[in-house]
Formats: sequence, C-alpha cells, structure tokens
Amino acid sequence: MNSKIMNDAMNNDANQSTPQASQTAFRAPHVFRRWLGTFGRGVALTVLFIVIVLPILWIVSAAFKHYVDIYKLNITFTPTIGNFFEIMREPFRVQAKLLNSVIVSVSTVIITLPLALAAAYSFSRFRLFAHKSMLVAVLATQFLPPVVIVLPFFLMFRDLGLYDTRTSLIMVQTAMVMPFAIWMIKGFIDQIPLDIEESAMIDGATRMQVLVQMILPMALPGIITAGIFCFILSWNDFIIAVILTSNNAVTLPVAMSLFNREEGDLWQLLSATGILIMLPIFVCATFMQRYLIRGTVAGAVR
Amino acid sequence: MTTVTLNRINKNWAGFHAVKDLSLSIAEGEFLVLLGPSGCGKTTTMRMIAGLEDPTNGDLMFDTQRMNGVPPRQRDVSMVFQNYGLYPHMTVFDNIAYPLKLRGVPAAQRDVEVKRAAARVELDHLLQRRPAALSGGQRQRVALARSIVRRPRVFLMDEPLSNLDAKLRGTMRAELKHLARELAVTTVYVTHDQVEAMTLASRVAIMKDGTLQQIDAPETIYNDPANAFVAGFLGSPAMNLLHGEGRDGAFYVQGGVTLPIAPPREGKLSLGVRPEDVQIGADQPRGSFSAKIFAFELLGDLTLITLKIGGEHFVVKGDKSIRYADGDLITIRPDPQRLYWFDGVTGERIRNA
Repeated sequence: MNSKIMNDAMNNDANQSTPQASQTAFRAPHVFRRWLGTFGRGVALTVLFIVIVLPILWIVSAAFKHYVDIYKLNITFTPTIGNFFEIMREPFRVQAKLLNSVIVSVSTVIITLPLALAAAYSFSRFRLFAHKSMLVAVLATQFLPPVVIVLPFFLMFRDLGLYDTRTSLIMVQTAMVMPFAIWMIKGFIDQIPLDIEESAMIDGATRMQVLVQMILPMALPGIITAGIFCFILSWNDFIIAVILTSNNAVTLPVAMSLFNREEGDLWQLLSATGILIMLPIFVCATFMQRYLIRGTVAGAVR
Repeated sequence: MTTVTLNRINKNWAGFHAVKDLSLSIAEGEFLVLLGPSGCGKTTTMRMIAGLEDPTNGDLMFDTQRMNGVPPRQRDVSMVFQNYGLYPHMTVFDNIAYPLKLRGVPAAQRDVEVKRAAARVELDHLLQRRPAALSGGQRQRVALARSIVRRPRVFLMDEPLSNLDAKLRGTMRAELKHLARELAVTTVYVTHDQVEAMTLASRVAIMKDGTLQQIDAPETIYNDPANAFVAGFLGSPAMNLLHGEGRDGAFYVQGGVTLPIAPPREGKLSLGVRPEDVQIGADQPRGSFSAKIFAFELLGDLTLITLKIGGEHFVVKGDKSIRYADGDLITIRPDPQRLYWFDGVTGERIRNA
C-alpha cells in the first residue's frame, strides 16, 4: 500500500493540474519518511542479524567439515561427523571435560540458588544492620574483574591442596554468580505484596514456611531465570577455569586450547567442541524466554 | 471467647509517634470498630493486636495473658486484609484449608471444615478456582472463609469493604453483620467509613492522631459526642459547626452574625447542629433566624439546603417535596434540645449541668 502511494506521488509530480495531485504530493513527504524509517529499521536488523548469526553459522558448518575444507570459502562441502568422534578420542577426551563442565555448573547453581533466595528474602523483608551498605557491597563485588582475583585464588587453592579440582572451581564460581542471583531474586521478591506473608504468618506459618510455601512458588520465575543466568555465567567461564585447572578439572572452554597443535589450530575440532558448549546455552535461552515473559506478566494477585 | 485489653500502648517509629498512650478493653464477643481518618493509628493498633507489630511500650493482654512479643502464629487470631491477602498460587479450597493444614489437621477433617466455611459464605461452587479468576466480592468471601475456618479467639478486619464497589459494599456489610452475630467471636474492625462503624459496631472507638477520642456505642457517639472532631466525623452530611464567641448572653458567629441562641458561657465557642435537627419555617419566633440559601440539592429521598451563616456553610435536611432557589431567604429553627456546644479552642464538649 505504501508503494502505491509512493507511485502516486511520483506520478503526480509530473502533472500537478489535478486537485488530487496536490493533495497526494502534500501527504507524500511524511509517508515517505515513515517508509524510510521502516526500511532503515529493516536494514539495521539485517546487519545485526548477520553480525550475530554469521559467526555461529560458520562454526556450525566448520564442525562438519574436513580440515582441508576449513580454509576454503566454498559454500558447498562434503560434510562429515567424524569430528565429533575425533574429539572424544585421545588426546582430547572432550567427554571428560564436558562432564567437568556439567558438574561444576550444575553444582554452582544448586548451591547458589537456595542461598541467594534466603539472602534476597532477608534483604527484601528485614531491616538489617548496615542494610544499604551490605547491598552495595554485594553489588560491588561484581565490578571486580575476575582476572584481578584469580591469581590470589590460585595461590590459596594450591596451598590448600585444592588446585586442579572441581571443588575449587565450584567455590569460586559460586562466589562469582551469587551477587547477581541475589539482586535478581530480590527484585522479584520486592514485587510480592507483604499482605500474603502477613496473612500466612497469622494463619500459623513460621518464616521458613513462608519462604518455602509462599515466596518460593511466587518468585519461581525469577529464581529460575536467575538460575539460568548463573548457569550460563558458570558454563562460559574461562579465566577462572584456565588458572585453577590443569588436567583433571578442565572445563569445556579451557579444553578449546587443547586444539592448538603443531599443524596449526584444528578448527574443525574446535568448532565441534564449540557446538557442545553452545547447545546447552541455546536450550537455556529458550527456556529463559518463556520464564522471563511469565515473570513479567504474572504478578501477585490482589 | 476472649477479652482483649490494651493498657497504655504506645507505638513509635523513628520519631513518628503513631499510637499514643492507648488504653481500651474489648469484651468477649464484642464487635469493636476502630474508626478514624487516614493516619490516625487505627491500623497500627490492629496490627499490634495481630502481632505484626510490637508495641514500643504498654501491655497487650488476651484475657490474662500478656501478648507483647508473641509471634502472630501463636496468638490464635485471624485477619482479613484490605487487599484480602489471598495466596495466588493456590486454589480457593487450598487457600481456606491452609490454616488448618499448618496446624496438622488431618485431610478428611480439613475437607469437612473447608466445605462448611465455604458454604457459610456461599462459595461452594468456586472451590477449585484460583484467586485470579474471581471477582472482588468473591475474593473477599474467600478471605472471610479462611478467617472463620479455624474458629480463632479474635477476628481482625482491616477495612475489608473498601475495595468493593458501593452496591456490593452494602450487601457485604449486611452479610458481615449477620456472620459476626452468628459466630459471636470477639471482633476488631478497622475502617474510615462511619456508615460501616454505625451499622456494624457494638462499640465504636474513634481515633485521631494516635489518641483515642471516644469509645461508646454508636448511638451514644452519634447523639453525645465528646468533642468537635467526633461530632463532625459521624453523620452524613456532617454536623454543622458554627465558630464564634459567647458575649453578653448572645452568640456572635464569625462574620458578624448574631444568633438568638443563648450560649452556655462566655468565650470562644463552637455550636454544633445536625442537619436533620433543624426545622424549616418558623412557627416559633424564639430560637429561629433567617439565612440566605447558598445551594439547594435534591437527593430524591430528601433535599439538602446549604445556607451561608456568617460566611460558614450550614446544611439543613429538608423533606423531599420542598423546593427553593439559590438566594432565597428562609427561616430556620435548630431544635433547642439538640444543640451541641464545644469549646472554641480545645473542641471539648461543654456539657450543661
């Protein structure tokens, strides 16, 4: 419809004699501007899409290529799934790294969420000593670049005999994601009206019962979203894992460095591992969308 | 059946003195209404009875047991909140059953009790719904059912009718009254609506700025107010208050008008007259005076005539058939038996010997 108006405008430029022409010509500039806005938006989105999706596409296609095809810019190639088997063999043994990643990330989330829920509830409902300062302090830890604290952690864990263990990774990553989880869950708990808790307490519930039976179900979208964010942060972590592990507790992001061989970087194997890293995140992101929407729409009922 | 006693209760929050030296006792089975404007301390007082707040000092007693510091779940009270406080993630049945579940009542008995409570508030057909799928009135009835299912010692209600539309409010008020009478549990009801106070209460406690102004049966508060604030709070339209001075045996109203009504004493005074206690048209010259009509309103069942006396508004209730126009001069005679005199400075009622 817009193009029809455009055409009319262009046609009417030629003969301005008809009264309709002057009308359309008058309307054309602002219609043209609107069309330009939509077109511009489309262009920007396309560029953004290309910038974001193209690398992912490249990696996914590279994972199915032979080594020789990697450096060619052909669109067609003979695919192979051999890479996925190759990374599971010696000396890479990616399945062990995958197991480490899963154990570390899942443990981090399992430990973080209950603690963050309790902390967020306290921050939200109680007037604690130095309340504001504590909240700011919790947030301030997020401003610290991990690279700054990683070396002290290395020395600490080495002396404790925990170097290159999953335990040390879990401990550090829990500390890393906890502030984020607390702030996120606190935001959700703040939105829950006090009436409901007071009602429950009068009905006979203890604080713990209120937390588990009332707050937990109602803040669940927030808790799950926080959990997924924490999982992603932990799963993708490189800097902490690379310093604190060497052989046994190596996680997937660090495993990528194994693919640097004498013959060069084995991109096809790197890409196959990359897919392993990306897949859980894609799944999480899909889940997160659903809960994010549910979290914003579902409020507490008055 | 429990008596509730407040003995010199104070509540302070970082400099804000919400409740000042409050003492009152609520008898067994009594329906006490805490009435007052916003910020007068009535909700704070109720929350202290519930255990959601602790008094700064003073004693709160249930029967002979001191309740300061006792958590709400051990007080055996139930409360209906202004916004109902329903649990949105549970069905109506589970909402009502929750207090019983917390007390370990077995499932079979829970079922019986919940159904009985639901039947009493006419919710039987809605038991499997969630609160989000209910109307305001239905949610309020769920809150009521939840509060009666346990048979507590004290019922607390915090403005339960304010979120309902006017028509529903009237219906629910009657239902509440009926329910309260049936159950005969000591009830404390907070409201700012004087109609609810008049209709529901066995006694009304009016509060202002944290202090108790008067505590009496509704009739007494209406007909025998303790001060100008109480007098002006009850009654719709409010009692007319004319401010002026008693001098040389006559009452001089601000604005230069003298009324032929003998004041009880000299000095600054306020004269209170209820709109329904004024006769229109003089059949007796003594005690009547004329005034110009400022506004005439027809309500259907009666008329409201607003006069200007010495710059102040003076409302008179008239029969539904009379008609006047703005600017008309009419003669009125306040009933001499129904005049209320208040001290012009303190607002205290002047009671003649």
